[in-house]
Amino acid sequence: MNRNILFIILLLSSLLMGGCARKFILPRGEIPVSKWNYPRRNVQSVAQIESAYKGGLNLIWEKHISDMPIAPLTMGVGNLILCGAESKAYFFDSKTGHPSGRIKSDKITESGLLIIDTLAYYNCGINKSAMNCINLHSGHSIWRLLLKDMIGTPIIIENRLFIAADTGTGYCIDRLTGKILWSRWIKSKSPAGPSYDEGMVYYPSDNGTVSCLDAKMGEMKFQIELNEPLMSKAAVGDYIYLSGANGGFFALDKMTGKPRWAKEFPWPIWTSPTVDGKSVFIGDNGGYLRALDVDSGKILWEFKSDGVIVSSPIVVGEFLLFASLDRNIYCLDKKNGLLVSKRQLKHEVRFPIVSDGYMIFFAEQDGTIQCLGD
Amino acid sequence: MILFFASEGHAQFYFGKNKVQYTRFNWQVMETEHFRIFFYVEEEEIAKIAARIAEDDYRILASRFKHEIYNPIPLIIYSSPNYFSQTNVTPTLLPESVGGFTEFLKGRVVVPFHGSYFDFAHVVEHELVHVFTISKLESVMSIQRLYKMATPPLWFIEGLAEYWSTEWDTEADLILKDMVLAGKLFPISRFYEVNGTYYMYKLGQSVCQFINDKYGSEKLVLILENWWKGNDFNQIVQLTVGESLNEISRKWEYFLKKKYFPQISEQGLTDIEARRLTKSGYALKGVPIDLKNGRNSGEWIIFKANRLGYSGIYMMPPDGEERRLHTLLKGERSASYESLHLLQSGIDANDSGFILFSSKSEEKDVLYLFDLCVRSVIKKYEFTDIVSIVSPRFSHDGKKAVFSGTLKSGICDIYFVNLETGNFRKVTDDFYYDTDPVFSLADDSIVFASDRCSDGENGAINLYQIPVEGGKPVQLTSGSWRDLTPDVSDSGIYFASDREKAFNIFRLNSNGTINRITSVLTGAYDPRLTPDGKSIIFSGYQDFGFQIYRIPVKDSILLTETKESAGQTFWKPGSLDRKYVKSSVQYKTDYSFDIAQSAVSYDPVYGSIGGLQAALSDMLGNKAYYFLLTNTAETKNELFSSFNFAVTYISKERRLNWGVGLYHLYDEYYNDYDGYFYERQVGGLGYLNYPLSKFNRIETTTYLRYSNKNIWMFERNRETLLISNYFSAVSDNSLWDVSGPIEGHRYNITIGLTTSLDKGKIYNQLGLVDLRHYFRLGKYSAHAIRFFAFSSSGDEPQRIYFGGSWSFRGYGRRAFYNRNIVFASNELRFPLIDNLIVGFPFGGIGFQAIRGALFFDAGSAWDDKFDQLIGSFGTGIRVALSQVIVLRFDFSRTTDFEKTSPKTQFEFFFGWNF
Repeated sequence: MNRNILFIILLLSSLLMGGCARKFILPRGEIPVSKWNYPRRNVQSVAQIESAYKGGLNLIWEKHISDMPIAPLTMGVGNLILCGAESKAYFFDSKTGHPSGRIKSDKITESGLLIIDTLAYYNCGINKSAMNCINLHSGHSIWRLLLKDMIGTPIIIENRLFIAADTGTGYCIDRLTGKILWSRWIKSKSPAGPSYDEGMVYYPSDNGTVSCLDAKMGEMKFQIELNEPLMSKAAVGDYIYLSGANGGFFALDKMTGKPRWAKEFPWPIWTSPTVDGKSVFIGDNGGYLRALDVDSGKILWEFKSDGVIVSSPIVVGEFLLFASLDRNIYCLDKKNGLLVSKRQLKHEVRFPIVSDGYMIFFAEQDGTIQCLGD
Repeated sequence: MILFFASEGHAQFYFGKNKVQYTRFNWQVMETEHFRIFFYVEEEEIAKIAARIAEDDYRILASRFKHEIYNPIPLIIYSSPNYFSQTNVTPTLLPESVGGFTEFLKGRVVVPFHGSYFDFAHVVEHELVHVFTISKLESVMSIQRLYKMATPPLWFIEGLAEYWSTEWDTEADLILKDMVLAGKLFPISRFYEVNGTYYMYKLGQSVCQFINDKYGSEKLVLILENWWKGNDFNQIVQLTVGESLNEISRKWEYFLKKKYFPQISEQGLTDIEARRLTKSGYALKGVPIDLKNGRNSGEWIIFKANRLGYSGIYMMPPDGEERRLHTLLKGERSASYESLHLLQSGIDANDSGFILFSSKSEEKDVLYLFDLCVRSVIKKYEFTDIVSIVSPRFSHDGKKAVFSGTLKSGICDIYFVNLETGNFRKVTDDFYYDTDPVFSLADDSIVFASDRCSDGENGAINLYQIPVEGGKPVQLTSGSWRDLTPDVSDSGIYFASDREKAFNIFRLNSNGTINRITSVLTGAYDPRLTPDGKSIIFSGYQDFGFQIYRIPVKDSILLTETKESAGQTFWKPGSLDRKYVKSSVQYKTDYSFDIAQSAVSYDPVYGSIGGLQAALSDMLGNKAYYFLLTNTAETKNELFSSFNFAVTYISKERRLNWGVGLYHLYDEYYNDYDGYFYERQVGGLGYLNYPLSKFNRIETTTYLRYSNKNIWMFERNRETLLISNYFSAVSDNSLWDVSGPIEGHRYNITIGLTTSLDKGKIYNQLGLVDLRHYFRLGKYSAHAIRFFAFSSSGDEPQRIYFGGSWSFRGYGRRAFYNRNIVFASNELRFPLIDNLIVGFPFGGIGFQAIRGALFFDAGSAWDDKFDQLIGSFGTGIRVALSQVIVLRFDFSRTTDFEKTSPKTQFEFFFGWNF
């Protein structure tokens, strides 16, 4: 055969194979349910799940994609989902790391992919953004809602999806039909998006406003000013806990918004706090991870890493885990802040670690996904 | 690289000033957690302090940017601006106003130590903000897999660096205040008009501060994080802040007006409150004297000024320069007066007619004694080990002097010198920044400004007094502000201070109380009491510049002063703890790529240009390799014989720059004499360049090569082994306007000889003289004269192209190709329009300056027999675009001096004036 023809055939077949990477389709039958209620991203809840995790940071599996993470890792239907800069969501079997397929979006998905039952939700695009709902069994779109300048990660509670827009509006959307149930003026953009607790949705804004709305009707319960940009999600425990980009940390009454206590730290805080029992954990740009008493704000312990902390800490069983831009994953004893283990990485981890209660997962910026445990 | 392409020509055919390596540095490298600090042995203490500052700054900036940098950041430290000016990290000549720079190819940060730890920390942090900004933007774009990035405007880059490296201080305030009060505040859309100037830095800083305060402290870093989302800066700001740049600008201007307009009810404008004595350019550091002898006896003011681009020392009557102005000394045109430190250093003069000033002379500063009677320098003082000399002052008897001097270690102290013997000694001897010394009335003690006060680490400077013999300084003023330039008189010590926000003149009375003498909004500096004690001469800032003012001495508000305990050491500059220093070793040459690119083009004269090009240089820029690899094969058989390669090594480590190279070139060339021909050249070259000073140099280049020239059109073949030697003397002290030189001169005299070694005969010889002189007529106008002569003879004489907009106007580009040329040009250069902004539907385009020219050229080009002189005359327009390119439009007619061409020739080309 002519060499040129052979070359063309090889080229075409490689292109064909490359272009036909497996689309993620959820098989019919039993749906693996994640114990981890991650779609809520209400991190205070995670500590309440019993965990068999022992604090080890040994490699269980590792995968690499030729893409860069652009959104927080999420979990659902037994899979780990990573949204990349090339507008694709990659699915991996959380136990083995085996690639389950991928979904291509028409625009960049900075919100990450949330999965409830067999439906996946994501917000894509920058200025002309759209909230999407797709059926994972068929891969078909259920609905698509164009909403200008959506920002942050949405949360889904029961059949309602809550999200914010750059324009300073908070939205509540029916997650099954895509219809807007209510929208409310929250004064400014909520960069990280809302949090939920006991029928209330909390929107922290970049102008320092905290808005609390009734989840059902959108009625404004309170709106207070903290005079500091609030760039991360609120954590809700006995109080609402909010971190400020000027280094302030606030505890507010859940029902009235009245300040209960406040602390000033020297470094800006861009990460969300994590509540666990009587402790609230917070990481700052100076590399400090602190545990504060939820009632008084008293510092219980602090741990210093060598890099900026931009990934919010999480609690898994008895351990507190976070990544620092010094390219280390840290595992601390949540009671006293003592280092249990740490693992040096080759690249940065900029998004929070996730866990299924047995293992932990994270994505490095070069596209390497690691599963650690034991 | 051009050395290779021009191997038949004379590579020295160019001008330019020189960066002279006067000093040999023994470079060391200190590795810390995030930095590789390059320093020389003498400045080890400064390097340790720099390490501490840099590591502290790193943590702060990592937090602000939410970003870490994983490769060590190269930080190169010089202990003095005079040494800093010798750096080879950048090939450009560094103006004295450059306080440090960040080089983008290798991310090198280069900063000099000026004596003040506070200022040093500011410069280091400013440059590190640049490093973080670049790294953050690269990271943001890389995460999004995007490679085309919106170009950040310079005002934002520099403004952000200023905002995140320093507080809003008095200087920043006076720049903005002056603009607002003069009604000349630039909106953001017009910042490009002051691009690269100090104004741009402060305007940018103000806008960044406004965005931070008005829209939220997180917005600045979010602008960087959102960089990938927008196609241009305006769009990125719009989607981050929620408002367009124009809207932000409108609100920012309104904010500044609200801030500054009310202040005018409390303090006045300088030229209303005082009498302005100078008008042109910048003028400052005025010294009033009552000259007792000589033909110009009477009252005068001696001052420094930059009136037309160069700095100099001038003398004017007490009523101002308009009555009579004498130019005493012109600086920046010769190696002796390379820099008069216009802003940094004061001068002194006395009634006997002597002036004391310092100037950079080659490697370091020297002290000059100038006699007004003979109008020349009569004595020069050089001090071993002292690199920098600032603000010298006479004693009252005129036989002694004091000054602030800096050693090679960077330590700045007060020095005493006997002007009759030249003997000198230290008065202070510690690590504090001591400056502006002045003798007490009895000449037995010295009053000076120092940062040894309690808040000195944060930039405060107070006045101190110390016996001439040395000892413990006594603190005279105290507070978290800057008290500078004291002048001792019977009535007290006059000094400038920013204790009430703007710099003003104050008087420290003998009982410790202080009176405010001036109350101006935009700054009063350098007070000097007139001989009759009734007025103060001072430098004032207004309308974008410094001028000299006179104000009668009137006491205003009496202030009280609290003293700190005398002689107490309040702070010490911290070094990095040894445990954080990974290593400190001798610097070993560390090469990395500057550039590696692939590009191909073909020029009929020079043949193929391009291919694989690469440059490797070391971290300090002292040594470099240049590589070129191309192939000019047209058939498979020629593949191996048609490789063009060249490698050159250049060393700029010492004053004598040298280079060697090897090359093989084979290509088809063209010239108007031989037509198309093939030539194979295999050989090597050697290059020496010795700068005599910043302005003069001699250089020589030798090529040894085998040359096989095949002129196929005429079936002629020439094969020989040639050696060419060229020697050049170059002088250049020209001062440039946007369209080209307007003052000074540029000379190039070159001779060359090419010999055939195998045939044992001279192949050709050449001589070239290019003399250009520029006579200043006004601020932007000049009369330029050029004389050019070239001659070459021998078996194969060299010919050069001539004609076109750069040489002989009216005749086409490359109209002449001869071995003998004589040419003279006269050109009158004058301004037409400054800052023309043309509006288009898509936005405005600004033309920085439009200049006009009237020219008359005459010359002749011939091979064997001189024919006749021909000429051309006409007019031209030069349009400068952002200091990058000049568009040239020439309208000319030619003449043979009997008749003139009937048609006007139009020519458009690019390039600066000759």
